[in-house]
Order: sequence, then C-alpha cells, then structure tokens
Amino acid sequence: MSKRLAAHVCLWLLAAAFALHAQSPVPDPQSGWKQLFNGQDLIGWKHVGEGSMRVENGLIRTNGKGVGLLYWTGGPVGNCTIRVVYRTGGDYDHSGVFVRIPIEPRDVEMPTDYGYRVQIDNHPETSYEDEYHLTGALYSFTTPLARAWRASPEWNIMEITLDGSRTVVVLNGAKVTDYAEGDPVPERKFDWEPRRGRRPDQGWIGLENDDGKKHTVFFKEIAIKPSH
Amino acid sequence: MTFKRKIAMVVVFLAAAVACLSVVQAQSGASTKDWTPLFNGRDLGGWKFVGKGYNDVKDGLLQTGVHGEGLLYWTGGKLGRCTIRVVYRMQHENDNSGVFIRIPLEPREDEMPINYGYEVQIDNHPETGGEDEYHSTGALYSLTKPLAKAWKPGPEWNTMEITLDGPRTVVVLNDVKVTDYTEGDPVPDRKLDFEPIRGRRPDEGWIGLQSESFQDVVLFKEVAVKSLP
Repeated sequence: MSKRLAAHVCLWLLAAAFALHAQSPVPDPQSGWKQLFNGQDLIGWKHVGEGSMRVENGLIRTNGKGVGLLYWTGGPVGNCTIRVVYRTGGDYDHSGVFVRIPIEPRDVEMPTDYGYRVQIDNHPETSYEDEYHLTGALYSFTTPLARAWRASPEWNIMEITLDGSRTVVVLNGAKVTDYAEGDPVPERKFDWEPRRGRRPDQGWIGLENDDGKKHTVFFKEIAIKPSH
Repeated sequence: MTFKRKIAMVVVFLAAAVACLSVVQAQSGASTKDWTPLFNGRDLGGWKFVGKGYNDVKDGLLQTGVHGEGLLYWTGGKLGRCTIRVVYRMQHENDNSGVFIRIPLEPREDEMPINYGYEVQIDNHPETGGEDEYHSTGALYSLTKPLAKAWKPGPEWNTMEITLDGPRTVVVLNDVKVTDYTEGDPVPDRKLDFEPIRGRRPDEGWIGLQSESFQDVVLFKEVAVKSLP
C-alpha cells in the first residue's frame, strides 16, 4: 500500500466514522443530547389535527390552514430537558411547544386541555391576548419572567426542563418560566384557553401548527437530554 | 364413648359442616350478584358535570339533556373487568343520550371522552339525524352496528348491561346481546366529522352519561356496577 493510498483510506475511514456519528440516533456521549429531528424528514413524528408540517432546507416548517400538532412518537418524557431551536417567519407568527400530554394524541384539543403549551408568540396583543400568552409562558397559566425572545429572522434557543412536577423554561439563556404543579393560576379568560387542572410528571411532546401557512415558524433542532 | 354416641357425634359434625358450606355458598352467591349502586336516587353525589349545562335529579330519577349539553361522569375513578347496569327511559318517544366508558383520563370537558373513550349510544332513530345503524341504541357509537333491535321506545324502561372484560366490550339490552366488540376488530372509517377518532381504547376507564341537547331528555333510574367473577 502506498503512503498516498493509506492516507486516502484513513481519510475515508474518518469521514465514515464522522458520518455514522452524526447520524447516530443514540445520545451524543459528550453532550448527552439526543436529536429527535433528523434534519431530513419527519420520521419519528406524526401530525394530528388540521394543517401539516414539512421539512424544507433542513428545517421543519409549519404549513397549511387550521390548528394541528406534530408530536414525537417516541412516548412520554419526563425528568429531562427539551431543547428547541426555532425562528419565526415574521414578527407576528406564532406556534408552541407542547409538553406533559398525558396520552398519545389523536387531535390537538386533548393536548391543549390536559397538557401544557410553551407559547411562541411575541405579539399576543394582536389577538387581544395579554402577557399570559407571550413567548415562554405556559400558555394562559403564567406570565414570562423576562422578555427574552429574538425577533425574526434570528434564531431562538428554548430549553424546557421537566423536573418532576416542576416546569422551567429558559429562553436564549434567560429563565422565563418556573412553575410547579399546584402554584396558583388565573381563571380561564377565553374559551380557547386550556382547562385548568394538574398535568402529569411525564408526557408526550409536540409542536403546534397554528394556521401555519399564515403563521410560519421554523424549527432547526429538537433535542432531549435526561436529567441526572 | 359408646358406638351410638360416636354415630351421633359424626352426624352432628356432618350437619355442622353442611350448614357451614351452605352459608359460604349463600354468601358467595350473594356477592357475585351484588350490584354497587353509583347513583343514590337522591342527588348527584359522586358525579360531576363537564360541559355547558348541568344535570339534576327529579322524582328520584337522574335526568340528562334538559339543562344543556355535556357529560356527567362518575368521580369514583376508572372501571374495568366489570358489568355496568343502566336502567333508563326516554321522556319522548325517542331521545338521544349515551353511556361513556373506557375514558382514559378524568374528564375536564366533553370532547376527549368522545375521541379516546367509547359512547354506548342511546338513540332509537338515528335516521332522523341523517345517521345510519352504526349510530343506533346499543352500538359503540359509529364503530359497531347493533346485533339486534332490542330497544323499547319512550316512556318504557330499558335495562342496559355493559360488560368490560379486558379489551372486550359486550352490551346486553333488555336481555338481548347487541354488541360484542374486541379491541382490534375492524371498524368502518369515520363518515362524519363529529364521529370519534379511531384507535385503541384502554381496558379500564372513567364512565359517564351524555347530555346531548336540551331537547333530548333521558331519565336514569339506576346506574350500578358489579365486578366480574
């Protein structure tokens, strides 16, 4: 084997190892994060309700009319951190990240009334909603502790920690929600707001499609890391 | 001990044994026939209404529908491996209600029970609402069609017994089997957008009574449950 050929083989092996590593569904042993979106298609995800989601240039984008939910089919998760990297198409576009959905979803209503939605909406006032409906809030239950969002087209990093019955949301490095089951919440103001009541410690997760063609949100990464 | 006394002892012993056995048998016979009433005939203690209206009790009867749409569920928790007996009558010649079973979560509203549980339908004339036989009394609403037309029109009393045996659901109406469905058996596609979303239902679930509309008044005399042996 010539030196040149040996170098070639070495490079190939390295490249192959790197490719395998990048595609591996097992958690990255270094960071502990497991990618739930493969960057190519929606394998491992399922859409219920109206509208749809599609993958475009390596990003999940909301699409279509009506309200729907793209949920991860891997089952309930708890005692973990979920990292979502997203950007909104325009300043007034909205979506949300569902957590603590008690059973596998068949529609978007059950997740609303029995789970939580971590809201993505920088301007709820345009739909006559107050600060309980802002980005980072548990939709209609809490007000964000800080306004930490970045406007379109910048990327945002949202980390949602499910710690038993406690839910902590960190947006772009700033803590915006810290809620434990049983903490007081306001009464329902609108009939589209979720029903009150305890949410489970573990639940299914998903991304909301809220009239996605009009309100476009792009997701680059959805990853999960178990707590220690 | 004389031989006579020995005989007498044996006779007494045998008699005692027989007496004991018959008591045990009588007790076990009684317990398998034992129905636990879930409706006390006076008020809605142990029940909770979700939806737009409310239910109440009039002349010892639980009345659904008259005060608006929703679901009255039993707050005692999930039921499985049991028979649920419901004795009801319609106020008019035909009215619409239903008995919900296998609801996986404690209800907070009346939509989740439709899409994640079953409704054993009470409606003798679904054709008046443009629905077919998959929507008539005794069917698992929209999923099965009754094996027989065993219903009695209002104001006659009907006895419905719903047995939850693991993944199998059997409905007996007025002593005639009208439904015998096991999870996984084929069902038709959804025809109407208010029909339940398909998918497996749990072996155990919360139960409830439907209030369809203020025009659909169904009166319940008894709601009771008995464990399967």
